[in-house]
Amino acid sequence: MATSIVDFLEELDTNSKLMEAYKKDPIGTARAFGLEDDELRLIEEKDWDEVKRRFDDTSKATRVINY
Amino acid sequence: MDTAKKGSLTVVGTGISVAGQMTLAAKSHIENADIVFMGIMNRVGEHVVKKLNPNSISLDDLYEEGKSRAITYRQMADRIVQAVAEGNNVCAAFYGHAGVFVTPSHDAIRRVTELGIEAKMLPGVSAEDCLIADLGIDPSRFGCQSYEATQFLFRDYRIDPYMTQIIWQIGLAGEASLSVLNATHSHSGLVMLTDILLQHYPDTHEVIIYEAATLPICEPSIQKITLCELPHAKPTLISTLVVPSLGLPAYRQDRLSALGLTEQQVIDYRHPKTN
Repeated sequence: MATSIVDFLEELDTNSKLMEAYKKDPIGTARAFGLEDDELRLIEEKDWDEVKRRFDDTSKATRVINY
Repeated sequence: MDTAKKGSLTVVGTGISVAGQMTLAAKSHIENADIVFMGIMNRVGEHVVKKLNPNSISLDDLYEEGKSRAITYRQMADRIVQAVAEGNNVCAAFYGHAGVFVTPSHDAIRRVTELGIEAKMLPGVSAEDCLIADLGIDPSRFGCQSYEATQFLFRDYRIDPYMTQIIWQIGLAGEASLSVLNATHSHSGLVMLTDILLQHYPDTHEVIIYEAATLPICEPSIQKITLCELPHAKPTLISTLVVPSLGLPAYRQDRLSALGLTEQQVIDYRHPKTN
């Protein structure tokens, strides 16, 4: 069953065994987890800028006023 | 008997990474809240919180280009306080540590407490914690001064170059309007900050522009440049400047003497000989 990269990122962040497997074989681990081809391509091409663009919104990162 | 439901507020941090830095206590409070307000800025992090509690609402829609963040933060606190006042057990979940560089979390706790309703904050993993781990900097080694860039520029602060400087939000250095949501207005602030730092450090002093990793497949960004290159840097809104210490300062002979000690004695105590 296909699984979203969102679930994969969550699991990677909390499962050290999965992270070890990912470091040794990123594509194989992501494929075994169930990622679809377009998401596998992000990992294969190490397109971290696109990954960040999809998931991080740093325009909303600032939360303080002190001056 | 008063049977009206009395609300409560617990403010938690979800960590900098998307899931792994959330404490067990924070997770439990998210799961058990009537309603969760999220200030997380990361879709994976929001997904994690929504899985724990489907009644989770983002606060990030309150950000708008051209709108003062002072208003945005007040509205965030308004939403949180209103839900508590209506009798809900509310959890406000902010990325990082909810009390570090977060105005609306502290405001919400203050306002809820003023209503006579229980409010508390739980500690979390902040960007500073990630910075310490990623750069291998122990803030106790040389002491540490940690401050927000614009506040430092606008106010009459002093730098101690023997301490590690951690300067936050350099992507907004000198930006007073509070109405921009990008880091393209920081050049003049960075020039001024560099001039101030050059009063204390050589222009060849190595400084670090750091960004913690939010996603587990990405590495933290650690950019080492010389101080004279800082005005040309292109920081983002999550960039932090680290200025390493010049080293330990000299011993204060007067204080040692007043304590009945000599410099050689404390050096010997610090480095005992082994047989």
